[in-house]
Amino acid sequence: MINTSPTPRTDLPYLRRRIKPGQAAAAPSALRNATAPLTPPSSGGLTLGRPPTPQAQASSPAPASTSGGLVLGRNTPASSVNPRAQKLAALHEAAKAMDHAVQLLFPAPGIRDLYELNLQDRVLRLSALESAVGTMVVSGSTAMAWESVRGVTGGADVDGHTAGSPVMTKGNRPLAGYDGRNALLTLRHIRQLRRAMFINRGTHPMGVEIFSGAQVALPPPADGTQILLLALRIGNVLELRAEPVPQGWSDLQIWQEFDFTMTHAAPITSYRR
Amino acid sequence: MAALVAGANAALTVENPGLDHVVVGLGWDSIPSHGPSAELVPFAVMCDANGVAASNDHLVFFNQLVSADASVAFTGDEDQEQIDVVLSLVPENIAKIVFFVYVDPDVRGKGTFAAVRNSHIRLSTAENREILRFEIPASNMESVTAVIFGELYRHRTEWKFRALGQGYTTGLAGVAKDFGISL
Repeated sequence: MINTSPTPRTDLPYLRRRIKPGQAAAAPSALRNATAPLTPPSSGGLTLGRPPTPQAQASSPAPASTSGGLVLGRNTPASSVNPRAQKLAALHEAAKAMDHAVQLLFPAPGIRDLYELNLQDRVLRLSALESAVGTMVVSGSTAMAWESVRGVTGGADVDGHTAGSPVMTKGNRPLAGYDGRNALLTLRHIRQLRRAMFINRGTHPMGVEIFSGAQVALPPPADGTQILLLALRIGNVLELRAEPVPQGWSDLQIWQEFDFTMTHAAPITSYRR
Repeated sequence: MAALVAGANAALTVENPGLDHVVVGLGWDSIPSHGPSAELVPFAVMCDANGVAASNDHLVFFNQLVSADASVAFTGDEDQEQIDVVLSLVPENIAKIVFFVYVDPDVRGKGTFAAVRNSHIRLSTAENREILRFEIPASNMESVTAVIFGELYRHRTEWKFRALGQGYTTGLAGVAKDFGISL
């Protein structure tokens, strides 16, 4: 039977927590150390009984794992005995997943390896540190759009027109937006960003500069083609891509092509809560 | 719980036998502002015997949450800045782990520590038992844009902690230069 429920079955913890034997053996030692000793079943069959109490676990060493059998019932993993270790284990898992996402990417040059992003050299990738320090300044763009990880989408142009919703950060600065004639991304809050796009309708090239001073250029429209700059956050790195589109396309057409659908901000009420 | 002064050190593992999991808490109060404010970023650098970062994989901060060897992990969020260190997992070639905080160098106003009060670094166990604390002296911070709060370092087979409170007016770039971090 197919589960068509729109909400996940949170009442089945073992489905989320079950560790396959191979995975347990391959888990990094750090992860094993970060969590309290597990108490796997001593047989390969189902274990329906209640788990030992934390006191009992603390007083007796964990038995060696003899199988990876399925454990049913309210069998809280022993890692929950120490909330800190549990939090750390979850963090390691998240970091591992992020690393995995980055490892899946094909190799790409860094910003110091390229002078220009163009139709031949279409992509570069910043390091985790480059992606997180200061401000990414895009000069020469005439319009931009952004989308946060929450799906908040907005746009602005160099003349001050805006659409959609801004994304404000803890430092009271927008995550993305114009400051004078430069488009900026606030890299301190890069983890809030999903992607951003920069359009150049001028006759001069666009330029990207990061905190280290490293720069890369994108050529202006030519031969009926304009080159957009797409900034995509993948895991903990920012990827910059040159995307060609027909020069005659309007900003709206470009937004549609790249699926930037402007979101609305809820009106602010005067009630204090 | 011991309170340290700048330059003082504490024999962490000698005085706390069996200590392996250390939680390094970095805290401060910022004067609230309705306008753009200085954003402080905690950072850990794992240094080799030469006192420089072993590599850029040996940096731990909000966008690189765990060191490559999994011994140091950033577990903070926007309200709570904590870095976990599992001492037994720290590779032998790492001689010290430096903890600093820099003001994010935003082009719209970099800011300084002038609006920051009550900066401190505290070390505690995984069970949140505070071992030691160092309050950063709050003098002449108007032009300071990065502060090294302290460092964990090896002393023979043990680990010690040194309180520093060393300010930089050159921000992350200055710290990166001193510790060989490739920006």
